[in-house]
Amino acid sequence: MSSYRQRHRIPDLGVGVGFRQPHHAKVLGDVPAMDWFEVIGDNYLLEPPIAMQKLEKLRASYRVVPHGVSMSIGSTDPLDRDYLTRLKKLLRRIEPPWCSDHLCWSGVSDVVVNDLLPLPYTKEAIDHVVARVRQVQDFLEVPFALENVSSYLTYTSSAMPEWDFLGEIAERADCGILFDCNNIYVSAKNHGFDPDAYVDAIPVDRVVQIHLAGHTDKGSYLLDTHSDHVKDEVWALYRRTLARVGPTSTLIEWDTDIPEWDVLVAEADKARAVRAEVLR
Amino acid sequence: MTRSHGDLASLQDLVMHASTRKDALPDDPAMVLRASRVVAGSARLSPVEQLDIYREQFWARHVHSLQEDFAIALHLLGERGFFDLVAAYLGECPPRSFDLRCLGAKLPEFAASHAPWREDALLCESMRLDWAYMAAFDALDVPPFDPQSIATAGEDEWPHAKLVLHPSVQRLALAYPLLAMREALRRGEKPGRPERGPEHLVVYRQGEWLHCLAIEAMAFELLGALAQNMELGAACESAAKAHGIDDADALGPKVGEWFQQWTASGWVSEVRF
Repeated sequence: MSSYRQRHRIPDLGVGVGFRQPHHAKVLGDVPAMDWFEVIGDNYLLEPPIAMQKLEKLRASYRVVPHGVSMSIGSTDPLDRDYLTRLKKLLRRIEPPWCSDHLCWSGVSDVVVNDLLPLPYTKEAIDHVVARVRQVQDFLEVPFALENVSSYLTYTSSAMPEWDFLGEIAERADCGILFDCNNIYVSAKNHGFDPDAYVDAIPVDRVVQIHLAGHTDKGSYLLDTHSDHVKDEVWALYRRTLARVGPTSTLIEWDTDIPEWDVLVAEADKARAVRAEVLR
Repeated sequence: MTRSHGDLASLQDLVMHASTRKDALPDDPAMVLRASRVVAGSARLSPVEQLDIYREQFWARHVHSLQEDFAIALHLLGERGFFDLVAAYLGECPPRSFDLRCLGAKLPEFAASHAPWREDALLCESMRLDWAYMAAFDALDVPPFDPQSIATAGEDEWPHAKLVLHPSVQRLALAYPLLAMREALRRGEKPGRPERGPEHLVVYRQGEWLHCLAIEAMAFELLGALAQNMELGAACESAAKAHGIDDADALGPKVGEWFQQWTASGWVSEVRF
């Protein structure tokens, strides 16, 4: 049986960066070299006119892939039909090779906390998420990938490691994985597990994209802030991941204290160099 | 569809409740006990301390978002006072949209109707002004005004003309001169509270840029009448009457001047005869 990526013809786009406001003029004006861009899909669902104009200009020059933060796939609230309908409209507009959101929940009782809250690693949660991912994929008609989140707590009810939880959901729901190396490192440090074990356990044929980012040491825990360079330990996890999954679209996330464009480009170049070294 | 039930739902109810509380969770013995039943804790943090990270993030994220949207209110209230306002607001109007830009939509109305903030007219007006910028930025776009559309209009047709304003145009009649205060804040200054004094502002978008202009009171009245779909002649009479002028025709030269300014600024998107 061919891999998820082969079945859905998901390409390796190379190394991209997020399309963030401080760089809009530079990117849309100068059209600098960059393999691809990721946009936060949620920012376009209400179709604000200026943002939509910029998105169209971006699409004219680059491959664009939307990434979501608000689907709340693990919530016990019903799936938000309005959200999904708007997302489907966006996907038809930008025709990406895949789309993604997080393996988490973001609110219940119609209240949105705008956070990526972790799920308990239980059979009940797996059954719940699998059913919802299937509905989402059927509705969106675009390959869908789930991203592992950074977490700051684990539940007493969890009955398996996170990598088994993610892997079983991806297999049973038949979806892709957006593998975030920084999130693995942050969670590993916060909860005391071996991040290499996570990388070694993930079903490689389902990984459609990799995220890299910086984090912040808050003393008693690490916080996923996307506010700095990728740390050495995370580069090491990236190498290990690439060695397992092969050439895979990679994205540098830098969303807080956003640096000058050239700094971001240098970080993407570093990822490109790591890819070349590991995959040669 | 209704919510599913089971352990997952009750766990999410607990975490949701905890992460949206205003006060630190470790200070509440009942919450310490509840957290210890569902959260595992780590070598460095107790269960309730881990849960409290999400509560801190909830407030950091939402307060920061509203601080950006309501810069004048933040300046007037200070960080602590602004937090108290946001905490009261989110207690009554919790976030329900996936788009954080919608978060402050009801905050001006909330402040204007709740003590102690409703007693501070400057604060309430500043929030209306700051939100007008948000509304102008996200307003629908329409094709620009085409001067050719009025090229053949006869003089006798103008009194019956209806002007369609650009959706981004936001009109504010204020009791305080807030534009200078807002601009001073943007320059990084720390302006004091201004003396009362009327100001008529129009916030609007041209391309992707936001602007704000102070205009004459009579021009403001006329713009308001036109926004209510009145014909130009009737709108002029209404504006003149509001300012004690009997002969609306006397406004003619001024109206021509205003029309030039409004079309140049993109406030008029269409003239219908």
